[in-house]
Amino acid sequence: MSDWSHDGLWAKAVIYAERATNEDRDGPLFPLWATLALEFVARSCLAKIHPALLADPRDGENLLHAFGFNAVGTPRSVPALTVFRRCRQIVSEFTEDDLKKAMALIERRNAELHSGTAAFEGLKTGLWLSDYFRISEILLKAQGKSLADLLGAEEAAGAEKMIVASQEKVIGDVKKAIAEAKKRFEELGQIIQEEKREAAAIQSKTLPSLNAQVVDCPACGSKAVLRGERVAVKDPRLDDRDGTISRQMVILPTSLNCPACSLGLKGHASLHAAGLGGNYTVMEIMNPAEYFGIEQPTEANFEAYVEEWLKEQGAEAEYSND
Amino acid sequence: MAGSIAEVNTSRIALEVFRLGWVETVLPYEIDLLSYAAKFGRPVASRRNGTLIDRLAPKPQEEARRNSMSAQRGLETFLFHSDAAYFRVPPRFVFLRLAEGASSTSDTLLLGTRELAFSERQLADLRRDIWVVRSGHSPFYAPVVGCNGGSNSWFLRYDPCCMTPALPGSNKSEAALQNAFAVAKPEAVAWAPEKVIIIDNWRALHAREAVRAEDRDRRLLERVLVVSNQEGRNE
Repeated sequence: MSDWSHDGLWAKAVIYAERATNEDRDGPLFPLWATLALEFVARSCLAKIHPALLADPRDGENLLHAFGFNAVGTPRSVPALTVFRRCRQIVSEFTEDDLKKAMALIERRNAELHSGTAAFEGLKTGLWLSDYFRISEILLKAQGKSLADLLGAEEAAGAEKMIVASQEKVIGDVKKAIAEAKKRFEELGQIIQEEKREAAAIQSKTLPSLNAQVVDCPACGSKAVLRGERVAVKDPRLDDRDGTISRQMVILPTSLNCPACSLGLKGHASLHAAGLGGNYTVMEIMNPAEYFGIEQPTEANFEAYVEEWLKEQGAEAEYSND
Repeated sequence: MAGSIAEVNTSRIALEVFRLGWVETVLPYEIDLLSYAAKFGRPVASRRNGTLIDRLAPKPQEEARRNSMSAQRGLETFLFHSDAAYFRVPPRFVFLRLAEGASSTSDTLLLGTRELAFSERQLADLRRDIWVVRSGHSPFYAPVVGCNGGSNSWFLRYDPCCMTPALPGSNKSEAALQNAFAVAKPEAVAWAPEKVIIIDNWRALHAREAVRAEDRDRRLLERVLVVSNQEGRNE
């Protein structure tokens, strides 16, 4: 059995979380153990799908180890950044923002372990702990576990309260931001308001990216731009009429910008608090060459391209089993 | 008991073992225990490079193999344990038979998980508290109540001779186990020629009474560990 089995990694996450909770919350050892636990939560999340997701792809021996076979050398797994990036791909609720927050903690831990910096000294829990619990909860849910499984019932109850408090704070901040933007907009006067609304409507016709969508601004009601991160891609479909390939992409909203009242909201939690947190779908349309990554020869190298192609055909024609 | 191994209805017996925690039966000595056990799944050696059939004789501490329960307990009572708790997933079945020519008045004690009264809270601790399991050169971490990913079935893993709480200060599962053992009423199974006990090693623990003086040179049990066909690789 591989050392990267879910059970082993999960057990280690629990021990490290337990070690963290046994430490003084304001001391440097609490975040050290907690961030070690976080990495194991992320690793066990990948191992739950298959330990092969942890194998360093630079050496095939690592893949053998992931499948439970004895490798010749010391098996190497992918680094923390790759682990969290893979979680980002696999766990739809684990956003780019969460990835950045998780990696900020991991990098601080690395600074603690690999440098002379006292990286966790004086780090207040108010700066990171609620995000830590929230991110952990997302990665735990993805592997069929809960905060209670990781921290024990009592600690988990406290952690849940902290997550709720943090969400309530986000709701409060978002309500305040919307109210302020609305007030600013209403102070502009009717004519300027109309001009800004029209400008916003024109701007919204040219979306800044494929992942964007036009919505009504929660503050002034003008056309605002919602942007997000791709969380899933549906199977592509070929359109027989024009030969294009289209595929639906599911987007998780992560930012809103209103050109009329200048309301700006960042992070999925903020958009959720503003009532704009639901996933939306956009359509990506590509030509087949683009979709399959086929290189189109330019006129200048067309002859060389044809020559190379003929040579390849000739090479294939050499095979004969008669 | 069937007259030949071909007549053994393994499915029926296995279901009885799962239902009751263990089953006593009789297997004539002309039928090899290993061949019989192999009808229930894949026999596995209890130790790396070991044989598929163990012959268990009581040994005083000084004569026992270093990494064995006898090295710690000698001829005293063997505490309740799962066999091969040091496997990543312990084997599902344990087959024990009194060897031909042997005799024993020292009983084997059996305790099904149903006889262990745990509260919900204690069960949560048993699932969550992590223990260090000493397994040759590769010790690993595991809780007492584990889950086998392959069959998605839970199992009990406990052997105080190779398992210690990873964080003794905060481990609650050890106390939960000891409290449960203190009030449980195990069943004592007396040995007789050709008697076989088939234990569901995931749902029942077993122990040995202190070896009586007359059994020291006469008690000899054959043992085969069997991985159920659904469990896959686990050593």
